[in-house]
Amino acid sequence: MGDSPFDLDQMQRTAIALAKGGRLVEARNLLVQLVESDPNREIAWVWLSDLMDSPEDRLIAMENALELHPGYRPYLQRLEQLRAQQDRFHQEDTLRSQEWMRQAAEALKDGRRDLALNLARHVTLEDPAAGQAWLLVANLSPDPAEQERALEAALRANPSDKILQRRLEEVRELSQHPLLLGLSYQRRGDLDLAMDVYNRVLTSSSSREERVEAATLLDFATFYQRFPEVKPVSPNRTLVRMATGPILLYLFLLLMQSGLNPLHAPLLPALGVLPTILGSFLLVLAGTRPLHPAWVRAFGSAGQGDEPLYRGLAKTAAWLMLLTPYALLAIDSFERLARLYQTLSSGGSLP
Amino acid sequence: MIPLNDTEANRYSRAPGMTILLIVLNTIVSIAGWIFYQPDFTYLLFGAVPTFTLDRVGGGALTTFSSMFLHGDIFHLFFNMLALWVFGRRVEDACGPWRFLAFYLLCGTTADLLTTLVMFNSPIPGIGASGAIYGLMGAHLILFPGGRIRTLFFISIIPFWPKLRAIWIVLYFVASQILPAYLMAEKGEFTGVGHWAHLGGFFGSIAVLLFLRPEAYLRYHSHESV
Repeated sequence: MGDSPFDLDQMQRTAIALAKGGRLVEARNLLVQLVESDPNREIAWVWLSDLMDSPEDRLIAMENALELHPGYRPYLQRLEQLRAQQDRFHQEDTLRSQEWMRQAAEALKDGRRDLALNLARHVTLEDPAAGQAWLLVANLSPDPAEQERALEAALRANPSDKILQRRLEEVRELSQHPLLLGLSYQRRGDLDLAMDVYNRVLTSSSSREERVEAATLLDFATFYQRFPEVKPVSPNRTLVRMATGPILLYLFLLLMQSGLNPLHAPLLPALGVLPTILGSFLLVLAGTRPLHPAWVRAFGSAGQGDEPLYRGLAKTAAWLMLLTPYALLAIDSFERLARLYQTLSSGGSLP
Repeated sequence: MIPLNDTEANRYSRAPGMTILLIVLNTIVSIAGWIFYQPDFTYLLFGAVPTFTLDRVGGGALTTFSSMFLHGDIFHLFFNMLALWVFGRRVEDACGPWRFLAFYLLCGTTADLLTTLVMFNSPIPGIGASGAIYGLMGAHLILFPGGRIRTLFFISIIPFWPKLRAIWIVLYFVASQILPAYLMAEKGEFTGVGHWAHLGGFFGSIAVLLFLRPEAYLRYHSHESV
């Protein structure tokens, strides 16, 4: 059974009396109940336009009153005042958010990442459409889930931003593989975030291989933190540097074999330069740690599926490519040695 | 001055298997060379002879390797292997056995290369592991400059065996090669020691390390060891 008009009138009178007596919260709650029961209570809406908390709700209450009494000048004037108030409030909100973002930028410059993160979070609570604040949360938060939410929110504010879209895809993919996520932080220079991730994996992963890998990565990250002037070397550059040794050795040996004149290099060993280079790179690649980008790109993530088989095949092929030229060089050397031996044995003249 | 032992407290992460293997190989090949030694034969065949190399006579690349494992006498072998033991273990520990072997052979090759370039008229065969060992000393200098080495030296007949920083020992050994190498090249004064091989091994290793591990150079400046 609904409330009778008499009850509603009584409720209205009680609410107004409470409001006049300074019991504003009780008055507001009663008036809200009243308009829920009877949305055509013009006076109730007018009182609510003063008693509601937020400027938006006050505005809505006034608009509802005006709808019930269209064109009524005092309501129109009150509506204007409320709109102006709302604009001022939004400006204050914006200024406050801007101030928080400024403080966040300063905190970040001073290395106080936690403070910067908290300030950015406050801004997003105040203004859910603050794209820059969401971006800051995404950049600073160690939690992949929060990063994902922040990037989604930032993308809603900037739907056409391709970089944000790629980052969101990357975070979604990497959140399945925490060590890869840590490596991506490390590569973009966020050592603190990377070390957070490695520590979490070290303490909570059920896989022994993952814990060993996390410990190794943590060692490296700690080193780079202690020596900030030493920049992490990209995995590709490391691969090139490690592959250089056998290639250099072969080239020097070939140079010795050719009497320090490359034009006199024996043919087959000279042709072996290319297989040496390929074999050396392949050998180093096959021996890289599981999280090298080349394997991740090829297999989606390290250590899964057929990757161990392909690593084994790569290593075998690499050794064949690498050792064959050395063997050809050795054969050429033995032939020359045999000729010298014959010369020395027969007492022939030496050069 | 004779380096006796690496006395740093931090333990190796693995046994120096490749260092030990190289010592064993050097010993076996050297002893075989003495047993089967024939004058004007053995070292011409298996030593690194600059004129042979340039005329493309003899083993060429093969003799670059074989010369590294031959030694003239027991003292030559002993002191080279002692230096290999002192300086090689920590370098092997830093890079792993196979990279250590490749680095060792590469330094021996650069030693031979420089000797051939400078002493191109020399018919004297070069033998010994000291070019490669100077390369290991160069690696030790870059990677572990502050590491302390127990060193024996004499003042008059009185022995001293302090622990000296690797940087001083290595620089002493390198400096001691410069003048004799110059005299050898400029005036043909042969001392029976392959000074250019030593310098070739040392500078070859420095060049390789600074290419492969430039961050090691920065750590060197920060006085931190690996």
